[in-house]
Amino acid sequence: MSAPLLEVNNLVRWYGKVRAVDGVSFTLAAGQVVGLIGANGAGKTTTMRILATLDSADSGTVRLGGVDIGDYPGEVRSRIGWMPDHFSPYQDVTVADYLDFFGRTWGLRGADLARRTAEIVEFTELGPLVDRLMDKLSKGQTQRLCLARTLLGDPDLLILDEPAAGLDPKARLEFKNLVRLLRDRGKTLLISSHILSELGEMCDTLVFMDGGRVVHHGDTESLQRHDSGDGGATFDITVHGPPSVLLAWLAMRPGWKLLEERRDGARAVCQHSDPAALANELKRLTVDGVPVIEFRRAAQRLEDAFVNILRDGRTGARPAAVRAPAPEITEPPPSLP
Amino acid sequence: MNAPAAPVVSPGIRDEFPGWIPAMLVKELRQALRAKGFVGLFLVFHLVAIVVFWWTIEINSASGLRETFTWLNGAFWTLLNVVMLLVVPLRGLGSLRMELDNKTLDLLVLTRLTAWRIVLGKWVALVAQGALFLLAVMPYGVVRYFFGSVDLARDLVLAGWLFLASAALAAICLWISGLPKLFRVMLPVLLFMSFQSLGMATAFSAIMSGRSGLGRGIRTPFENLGATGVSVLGLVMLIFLGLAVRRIAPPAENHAKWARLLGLVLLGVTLIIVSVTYIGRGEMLAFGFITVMLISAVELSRDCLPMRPHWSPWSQGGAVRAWFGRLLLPGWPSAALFAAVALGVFVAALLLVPSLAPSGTDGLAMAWWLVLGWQALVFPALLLSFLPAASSMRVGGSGYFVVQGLFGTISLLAATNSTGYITGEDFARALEAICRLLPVFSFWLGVDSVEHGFASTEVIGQVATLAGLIVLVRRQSRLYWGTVARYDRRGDEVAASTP
Repeated sequence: MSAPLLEVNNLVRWYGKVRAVDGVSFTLAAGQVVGLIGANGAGKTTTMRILATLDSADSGTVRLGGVDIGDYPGEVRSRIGWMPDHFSPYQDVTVADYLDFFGRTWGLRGADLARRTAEIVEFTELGPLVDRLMDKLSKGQTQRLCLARTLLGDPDLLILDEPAAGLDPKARLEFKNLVRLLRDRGKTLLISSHILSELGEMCDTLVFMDGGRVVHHGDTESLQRHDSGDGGATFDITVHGPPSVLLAWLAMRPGWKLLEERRDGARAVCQHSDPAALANELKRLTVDGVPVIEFRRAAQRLEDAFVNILRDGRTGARPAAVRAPAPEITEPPPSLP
Repeated sequence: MNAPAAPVVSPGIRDEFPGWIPAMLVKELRQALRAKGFVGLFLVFHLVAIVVFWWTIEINSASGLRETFTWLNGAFWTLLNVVMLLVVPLRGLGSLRMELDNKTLDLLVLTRLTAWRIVLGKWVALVAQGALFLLAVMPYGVVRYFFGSVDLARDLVLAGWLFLASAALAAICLWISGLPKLFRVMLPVLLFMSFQSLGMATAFSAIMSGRSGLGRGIRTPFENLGATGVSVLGLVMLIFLGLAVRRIAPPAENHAKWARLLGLVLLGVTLIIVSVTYIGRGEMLAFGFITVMLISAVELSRDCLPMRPHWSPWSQGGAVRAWFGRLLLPGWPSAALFAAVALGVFVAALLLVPSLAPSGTDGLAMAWWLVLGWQALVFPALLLSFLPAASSMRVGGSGYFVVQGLFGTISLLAATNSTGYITGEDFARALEAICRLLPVFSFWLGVDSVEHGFASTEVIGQVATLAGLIVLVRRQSRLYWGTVARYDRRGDEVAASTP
């Protein structure tokens, strides 16, 4: 297995007496799209700012391609693209001038600059807008411009903080397509958002944060599967007619447990989760005369999964973390950095 | 196989600025010259100039050419003064603030631009606007030829001074633009009140020179400043641009390094000038000393621990490099070390070549007074280092200057025996004698001793104070240098992650 592109190890960041980031660790493989999820004040933006070298951790390390970003922020910056949650356009600057400026900041000049800018304009479909002043763009167009700026330096890792916030459905869809295209081009993306369902569609892996800590890190598919903790699988079963036959079957059949009775069926947990056993159970169901018209593995909404994980984290073995929104000002830690 | 397609160049991309012009300057110039505010200002400026000149010629037509020339001269310089010392610098007041408020600064520091390049780009754009206004006002200067003789060389020198002063003010305004709102309102008012009075004096001088006929041989207040004036304005620009950089720089960037290296260069130039010329030796020495004091004071006001990126460039490359690095780190312990070395160069020069001392001063006394200067610089930083971390943060960098100002004021009161009226002469003298042994006070009260030497008992007491201060500085900076040593111990690991 190849070495991860980004390794975050035990990151801690204090804001006065508040531990805004509390021992965050995770890794990102090259080409992955990872979602960072958490409520306000969970430490997402602070973590992302540290990863983008805009803030410094009080302890812990972040390595990008094996290089410690704390030691060599200047060296890794060319490999990082940062898109902030809030992006204010410059006054009296056209889209073309803006891209030209940022291209120049990356050392591009002359034909190279023109070629690179043209590529990015084409990719983000900003062509018809190049002569327009930045402050006359819509929110969606501004976000596309911001992404275009991020891509000018051809970064390996893109860190996007709430990129879809405030976008209308059309702009959101366009943005989602851009993320998909970037993934196809082999870019690694770390995206934070409040719109969890969207992250589910875009991301391979999700990192849940709460109180400055990572409370879950796993692939999206397993998170959406509504499986019980003891290895069982949850199913939504719909029947033709009243569900009494199904309910009786569930009560009699060993290995099944009724979770929820519905008007046209039930939600139940089956102890067997291997495909062969499940196929056998479905066959048994029909053989026993239950008029099944739908037998579907229950998928849980990401929002529900998030709430469940937070609830488990707070009531379970995990120690409660300090929950406070990170203030704007930075203060040094009370101890050695 | 198909031939590679020609690159598609977006129609909006312009290349009116050549590649060698820094990116930040290109952006600032494009933005500034397109802004409605600038275009409107430029038109209003010409309108006002035309009206003022026409009106001046009209009302003075009956008084003769000489009188008209005098008034035209006054109008011309007043106009230039207002534009260069008020309008151009004022345009810098929103510069960094807009980047900070709009959070666009993050995007800039993530590129290859350093905080220095960002500030420098903004400042040069302001200076370029000043140059544009200066060129635009020239036709009105030419109009004066029709009414009297103009001393072109003198006018150029005056315009040059205004240009330099405008550039220095622009640097100060850039720094102010990064400060909190209260300072952004208060400081410009104070600044422009003082500079405008200076500018008005220049305009008045110009009127007077016009009245004197050809104006030959008349030296303006600016002209009298000479090389020292250029150096002082250069220093003002350097200090305030450095302060502006500190407002926006990410914590991992070490800007103390550049300020101090430039300070050392200025110091070297000063010593060379002093060694080859007798003219203005006292002024140049004072300038060099003030340079070291100011550059050190800026960083002495900062209580922070060094970060790994600050130390990494110095950790690999031998002991000499490491020791040099220790002089250039951010935070007060390194600044105290830098000040000790820089002032040490002065002291050594004075001890080795006593004739370097300005006339009327004792070389040895001068050298000792510089040592007291180091004490005066470091003592407020040492005092503040005893505060708990949270309080120290609250006090911030301004605390250092407040303490320094407070001690300086008390020293002045003690020196003038002001308390004698209240407490009696004997008490005042005893107070002064004690103060002469204490840090900061000993420096200010020692000014008069530079001429005729320090008393031996006084020096013994001051040496004891100095020894105590050094011990405390070492104790209070233990954590700081311990952090540097910790980074050194990590050397192998850091080396392994070197890209």
